[in-house]
Amino acid sequence: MSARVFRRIGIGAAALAVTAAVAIAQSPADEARLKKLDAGPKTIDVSQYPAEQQRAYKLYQTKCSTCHVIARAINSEMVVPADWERYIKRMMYKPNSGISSDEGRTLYRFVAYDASARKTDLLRKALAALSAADRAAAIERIKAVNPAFVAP
Amino acid sequence: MRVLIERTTWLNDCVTRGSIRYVTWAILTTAFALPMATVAEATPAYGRRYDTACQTCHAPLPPRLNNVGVLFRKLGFRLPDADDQGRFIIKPVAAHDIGDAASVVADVAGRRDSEVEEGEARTTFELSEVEIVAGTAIGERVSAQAMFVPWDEGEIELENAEIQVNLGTPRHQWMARGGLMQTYLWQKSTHGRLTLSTPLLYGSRAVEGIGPFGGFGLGVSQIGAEVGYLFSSLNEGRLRSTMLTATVLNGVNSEGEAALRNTAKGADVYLQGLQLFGDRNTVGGFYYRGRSFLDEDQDAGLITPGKQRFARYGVMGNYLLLKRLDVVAGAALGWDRSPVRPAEVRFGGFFTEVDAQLMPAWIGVYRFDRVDPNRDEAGDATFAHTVSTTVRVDDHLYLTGEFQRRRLVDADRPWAIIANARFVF
Repeated sequence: MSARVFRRIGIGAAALAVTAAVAIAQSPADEARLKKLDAGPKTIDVSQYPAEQQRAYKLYQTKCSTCHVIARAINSEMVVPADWERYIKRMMYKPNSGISSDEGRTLYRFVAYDASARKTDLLRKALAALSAADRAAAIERIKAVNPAFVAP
Repeated sequence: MRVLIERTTWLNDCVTRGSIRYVTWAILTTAFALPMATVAEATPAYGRRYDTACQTCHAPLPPRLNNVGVLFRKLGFRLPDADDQGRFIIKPVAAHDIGDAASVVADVAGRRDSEVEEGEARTTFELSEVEIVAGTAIGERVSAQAMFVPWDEGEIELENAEIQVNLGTPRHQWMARGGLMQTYLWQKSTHGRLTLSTPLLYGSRAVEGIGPFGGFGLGVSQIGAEVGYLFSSLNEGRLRSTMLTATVLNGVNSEGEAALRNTAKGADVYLQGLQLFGDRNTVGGFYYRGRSFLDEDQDAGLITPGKQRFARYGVMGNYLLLKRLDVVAGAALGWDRSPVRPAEVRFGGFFTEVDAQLMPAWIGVYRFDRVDPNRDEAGDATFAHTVSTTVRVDDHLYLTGEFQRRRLVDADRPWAIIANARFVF
C-alpha cells in the first residue's frame, strides 16, 4: 500500500471523525415523542366517515407522507382546529411542498373532522383547557366540519 | 440464455458460468420486485438527521436531486424551509448520532457485455463498490463532507473531502469551500455507478482522450477552492434560487484523474451558473478552462512533452413537462490544444433524456448521448442509447436494470445489460 493511499486513509478517517463528533454532540429534544408517533397506527378506518372525508383521506395519505411518515400525522396529539390550520399553512409554505390552497383547505377539513370523530377525548380535554372565547370559536369551527360533534 | 452461454468466449478468471445465473437472478428479482414496490418509510443518513423522507431532496428517486436537494447541499447541509408566515428560512440542524451523519452505499452488479474485446463477450457479477458518505453542518456557518471508498479494486480511495463556509441571510448567501471537491454544480441527471447513468457529456470521463491525454470529464472530483453566491426566494411554497460560482482547481493529470498538484504549474478555472425554478426545473451554464502536462515518458517518447490545454463550455437544464415526466438535456462545446498532432481539436456533444415516474417508487429512463471528441474528423463520434428502470423496494434498497447500446468508431454496436442492486444505510 503506497504512502499516497495511507495519506488518503488518514484524511478520510479524520474527516469522518470530525463529522461523527459533530453529529454526536447534538441531540433533539422531541426525538422520543416523534418516534412514538411514528410507531403508531398507519391507517385510519374512514368507512364511517362522510364521502367528502373519505375522498380527502386519499389526499391526506399522499400529501402528509411526503416529508414524514403518515403515522406521525395520524397519531398527532394536535386536535384544535386553529392549531391544525396553522400547521397546514406551514406545510404549504415549505419549499416545493406541492400543497395548493384548495388542497390545504381539504386537508384542514379532514384533520379537523378526524380529530372530532376519532380523538374525541383528547379534543374535549384540549377544549377544556382553552379560554371561554377560544373554546366557543373552536367548537364553531369543529361543528362546521362535523355537525354531529357534541361539545363538552 | 443457454445460447448466449455457448456462444460466449469466457475471459480468464473474471468470468464463470455461475455468474450468468447471478445476472439472471438479479434481473428476475428486479422484475418481480416492480409490482411489490411500496413507498417506504425508513430513511437513511440525511433523512435520519433531518427527520424527513428521501423525497424531500430527491425526485423522482435518489440519487437524483430536486431543487430542495440542490439548495440543501449548497447551503452546507441545511434545509431550506419556511416559517409560520411563509418567509424563507434555513432550518436549524438536528443531528442525533453518527448514524445520522454517515451513510454506507454498496452496489452489487451483474453485467453482460456483448463485446468487450474483439469477438469476446463477458459476463460479470461483482460487489462493484462500497462507499461511505458523511456530511454535516457544523454550527451555523461551517459544513464538511467526505466520501470514502474503503475498497476499490484493491485500493482505498478518498473521493471527496471538503470544508464549506456559508455567510449571509437565508435569501443572500455567500459561500466558499475547498478541498478535494465535487466540482459539478448541476446534479440533476440520474447519476450513479452504472456505466451510462451519467451522461457521457458530463461524466467523470468524456469518452476518448486526445492523443496521450486521457480525456477530461466535468464529473471528476478535484482539489481546489470555490466562492459562490446564492440568491433564494420563497413565495407560497414556490422556491427559486440563483447560484453563481467561480472555482480554481488543480486540474487533472495526463490520465484525466484529479491531480494532487497542478501538473502545468497553473490553475484550472471553472465558472458555473444555475437557476432553480419550480419543483425541480433548472437551467444553467458553465465554462471550464484547464490544462495538464503531458509526460515525456508516455508513448515511449513518441510525443513532445508539453501542456495539454482544453476548454469546455455548455448549457444544461431540465423541465417537468408533466407531473411525472421530466425532460433533461445538455450540450457542450470545447477545444483541446496539445503538442501532439493535431495541434487543436474541437470537441462537441449533447444528450437528451426522458425520465418517467411510472409508479411512486418506479422510474423509467431513456437517454440519447452523442459525443464527438474531434468535430473536424468524420466518423469518430460515439452515440449511445440507454434504457433503464429503477425501483425502490424500500429506502435501503434500489434495484436497477439497464440496457445500453453504443455506436463506436468503425465498430460494431456493442450492447450491455446491467442489473444493479444498491444498498443504502
